Amino acid sequence: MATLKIGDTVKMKSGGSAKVLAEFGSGGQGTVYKVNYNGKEYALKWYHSNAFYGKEDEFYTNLENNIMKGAPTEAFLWPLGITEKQNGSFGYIMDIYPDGYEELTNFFVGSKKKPQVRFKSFAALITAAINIIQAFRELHNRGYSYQDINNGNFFIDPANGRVLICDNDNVSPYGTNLGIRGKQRWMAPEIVTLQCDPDKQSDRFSLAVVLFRLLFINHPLEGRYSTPPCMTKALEKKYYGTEPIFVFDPTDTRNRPIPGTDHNLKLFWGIYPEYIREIFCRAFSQDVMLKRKPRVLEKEWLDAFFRLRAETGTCPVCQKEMFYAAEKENCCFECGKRIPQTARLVFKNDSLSLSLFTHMKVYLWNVDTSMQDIETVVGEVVENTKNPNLLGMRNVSAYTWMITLPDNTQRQLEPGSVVPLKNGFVIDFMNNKRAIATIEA
Amino acid sequence: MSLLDQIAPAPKKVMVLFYLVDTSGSMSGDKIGAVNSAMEEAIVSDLPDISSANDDADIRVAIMQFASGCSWITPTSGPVAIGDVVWTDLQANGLTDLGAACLELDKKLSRHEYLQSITGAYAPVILLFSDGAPTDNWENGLMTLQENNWFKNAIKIAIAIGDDAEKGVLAKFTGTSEAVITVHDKNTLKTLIRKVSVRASEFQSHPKTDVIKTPEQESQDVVKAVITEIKEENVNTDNDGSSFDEDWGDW
Repeated sequence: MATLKIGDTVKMKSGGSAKVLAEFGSGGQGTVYKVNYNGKEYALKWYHSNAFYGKEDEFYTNLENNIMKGAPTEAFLWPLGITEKQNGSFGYIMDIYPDGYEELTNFFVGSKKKPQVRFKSFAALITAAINIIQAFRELHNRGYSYQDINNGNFFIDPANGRVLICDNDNVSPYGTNLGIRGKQRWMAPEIVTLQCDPDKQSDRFSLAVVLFRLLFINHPLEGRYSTPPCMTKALEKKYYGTEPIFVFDPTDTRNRPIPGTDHNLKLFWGIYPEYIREIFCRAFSQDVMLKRKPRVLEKEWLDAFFRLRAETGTCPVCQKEMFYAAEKENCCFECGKRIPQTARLVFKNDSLSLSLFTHMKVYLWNVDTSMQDIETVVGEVVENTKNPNLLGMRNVSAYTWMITLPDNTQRQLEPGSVVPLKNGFVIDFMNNKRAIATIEA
Repeated sequence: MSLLDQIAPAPKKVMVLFYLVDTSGSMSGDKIGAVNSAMEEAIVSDLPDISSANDDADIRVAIMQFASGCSWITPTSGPVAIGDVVWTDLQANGLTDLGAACLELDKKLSRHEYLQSITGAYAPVILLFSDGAPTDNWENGLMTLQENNWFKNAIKIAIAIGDDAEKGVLAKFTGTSEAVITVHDKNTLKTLIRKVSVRASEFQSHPKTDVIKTPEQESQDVVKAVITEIKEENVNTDNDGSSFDEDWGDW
């Protein structure tokens, strides 16, 4: 049974059977159906019988193992149950992605039926980036690699940046590959050139492509140099494999964007802070792409994007979003107006400084990355109700903060209370002498 | 308006699907009728799906008919987006000037003609449909075309309609007999046009066994995959009363 019909039933390994209700769509590896199993609706991915590259049994066992171990995080639309083998094929069920989520592809292009999707805010975009990075971090921490990251694997809510990752059937433990290489334009150079099997390191290259395209839409390796009149397989190997060049490589300018195709790059490359441009320049440097230096780690991406999230605020002039750099006077990238320098929060341990502006939020990640928490907000900058020019930071965490004043006296700040942003005040966020920052006003 | 509202679609390379359709006199009746309905259905209704929200390539089509001489069905200004093709039924009469078709295709396979694009282009996909033997100096035309680099790198697949098609000629065109498929019935023709077009222009994850191949190997692979797929579906449709195996040998 290569394809299923509406009304067909397939037996589940764990007992009972799933009934086909409708077809969602068909791809190279198989067809996805809407099914009913035990009174609930799921998506069933049913493979073409030639989809396994001769490793059918390993594929089946790997899926069973993954189902048993469970999803690394809620961001994964993880396989929940596997069918019995029937007529040379099988499938697995997973949750159906809910309304409001859009395919990553739709963020890059539109169609006649559907306009290109835009993030509702930079905050949502940055949250999506953080959610994707964290999902792969957790996946890798569990010893898995994804092996086939591409534009077809992600569903994102443009309003809030929530992410769901599908097609988790090639996810394999360390050292295992079930025959997949990946998709052209998303594969790491060493996979394009067949030097290695896909693994955690090649995932990290593809992750960098996903992140670049979330922010800048265009492809990081496609510019003047890599656009011959006719792209052949041999040339693809060169431009994405043996000799890739980043469009914004600081030293090699051969692959700069082609005028007329660079609208998004011109729009966005310049507005992000230097450290965001730098991390992309590093991720797509020759040394890192060709693995002479290590790939950018998920932790490093998280640090950069958490900093960016903390720096994303509202312009007091035009009320649109802008990024507040701590070190200098800012200029709103929407209205172009100069915004005076704000007070700053200077962290003791890793020299991070954050600008303190109204509604600015400090995340637990900014304070202490060892907590592995990407959700919790610990502090929020608020205006004094009597005098809006006076700013303070509200303790919205569950911890009592220890504030050290310039005269070395100490005061506790209970959750819910506010400390004014005064020069020289030192905040110990968890009262454990690890997460300490000084206010400079 | 926020900067986020000003984003433009990601640039992508153009991929042109060329359809070369034999409309000689021998195609008249059932055959041209089948080609007309199959092409119309595939191009107007099925293929737009693959080009919708496609980040991999900007898929366009150019359709040529050849009989006594040849002409483009799609506007001579160049290939059009799949959803924009307005199908006009082809009429069958005249000779089979495959040589003329090759020369015309050679002219258009150029970065200054049909493959002009600032974002670049992928090697095209060329599908040839014929039911008979060429009547002109096709060898000369094909020889010229074979010198064209776009043609050399293209996926080339030929569909022989019925048993009278000169399969040796078609194999010379594709570069391998493995990229020639013979069809004997309308439904298969319809399925083939759709599946070959989709397969040849689709970008999916590669298996590890998928090393760099010659265009001829790629063409063969498309043909193999499509035939397997049709066989698999056939198993499913065996008993649903479809006319998949109906014999129209009296074309």
